[in-house]
Amino acid sequence: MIIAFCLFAPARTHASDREHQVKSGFVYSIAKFCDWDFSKKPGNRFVIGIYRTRAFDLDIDVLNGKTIRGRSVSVEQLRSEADIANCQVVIVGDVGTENIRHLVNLCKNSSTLLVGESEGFTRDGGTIGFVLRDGTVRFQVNLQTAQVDRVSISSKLLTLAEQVFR
Amino acid sequence: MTLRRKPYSLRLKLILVTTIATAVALLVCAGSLAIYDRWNFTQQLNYELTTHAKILGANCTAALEFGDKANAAEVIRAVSANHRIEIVVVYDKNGKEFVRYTRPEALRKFPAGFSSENILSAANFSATSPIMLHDEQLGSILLEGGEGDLTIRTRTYFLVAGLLMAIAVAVAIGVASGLQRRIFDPIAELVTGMAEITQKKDYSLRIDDKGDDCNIPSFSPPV
Repeated sequence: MIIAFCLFAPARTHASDREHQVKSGFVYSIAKFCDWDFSKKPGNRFVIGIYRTRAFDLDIDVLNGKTIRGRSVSVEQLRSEADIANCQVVIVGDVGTENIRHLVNLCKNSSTLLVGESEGFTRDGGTIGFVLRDGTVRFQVNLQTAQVDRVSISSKLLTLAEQVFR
Repeated sequence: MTLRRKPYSLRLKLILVTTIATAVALLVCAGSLAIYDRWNFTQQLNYELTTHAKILGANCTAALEFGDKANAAEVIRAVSANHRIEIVVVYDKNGKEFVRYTRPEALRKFPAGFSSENILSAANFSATSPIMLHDEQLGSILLEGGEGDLTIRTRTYFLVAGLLMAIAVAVAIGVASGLQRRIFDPIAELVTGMAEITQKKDYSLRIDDKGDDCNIPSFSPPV
C-alpha cells in the first residue's frame, strides 16, 4: 500500500500542480476582463488574497509584480476575514456552502471578486468558480453576485464560461 | 446624279460626326465612371475588411487570452455571412497561427497550411489589425477579401454601360437626323436651284436665303 502510494502520489501531485498553474493563469486572465470600482480601494496595488487554501501557494506567486489595470499585483495569504476588504480578488478554498454565503455577504458592494474551486462554488453565490471537465479547467460565472459585489465582468469573458448564473 | 448625291453624303457625314462625338463623349464618361467606381469599390472593401478585422479581433481577445481555439474559431466563423471575405487568420502574440477560417470556395486558393506570407501574396485585398486588450497586444488578425465581387461588378457595369451607350447612340442618330434638316435643307435647295439654272439656263430664278449664314437677301447665280 505504501509502495502504491509512493508510486501514485507524485503523479497526482504533478497533475494538481499543473491544474493550479492553469488556475493561477486564469485568475490573471479573468482579472483583465473585469472592472473594479477602484474608488473603494485607493492606492496602486492590485491585491489577490488567498483565503483558507494552500493549493495555490506555489503557482500564484508568479503573478506578484505583474500589472492589472495599471496596478501592481500583490499576492497575499489572508489571515482573517477582515483582510478581504483590501483585496480586489479573493481566492477561496473549500470552505463549505455556509462559509461561501457568509463571504458573499461580506463582499457585498466591496468591489471584490470571489474566486473558488470548490464544487458548487458559483451556485452557492461565489462570483467565479473553477471546474474540471475532462481534465480541462473551465470556469462558471455568477453574474448576480458580480453585480452585488460591484465588479463588472466583460461579456467577452462570459462567452468562455462553462455556465453563467444570472 | 453627282449633284443629288452630295447633300445626302453630307447629311450622313453630319449624322456620323454627331453620333461619333456623342459616343466618344459617352465612352470617356463611362470609362471615367468605371475607374472611379473601381477605386471607390476597393476603398469600400478595404474599409470593410479593416472594420471586420477590428470587430473580430476585439471579439477574440478572451479566446486568445485563455488559449481557447474553439471559441476563437467560432468567433471568426461569423464572417461566413460576408461572401467577400475568403480567409481569416488569427495569430497569437508570438506571431504563431492561432486559428483560421477559410471559406469553402476559397480552399483551393488558400489550402490548409498556407503560410501568412503566401496568403498576403495571393491576396487581392487584405487587412491586418493588432488584437489589443487594454494596452497589451494579445495577437493580430489577417483578413483577405476576394476579387470575385469586383469582377462581377465590373462585368455588370460594362454590360449596363454598353446597353445605355447603344440607346444613347440610337437617340443621338434620331436627333441628329431630325436636326440636320435645318442645316441641309437650305443647302439642298441651293444645289437644286443651281442644277435647275444649269439645265434650263433660266437666270431669273431666285433662291431665298432662309438663314443668315450668307448674309444676302437672295441668291443670284453668276452669268
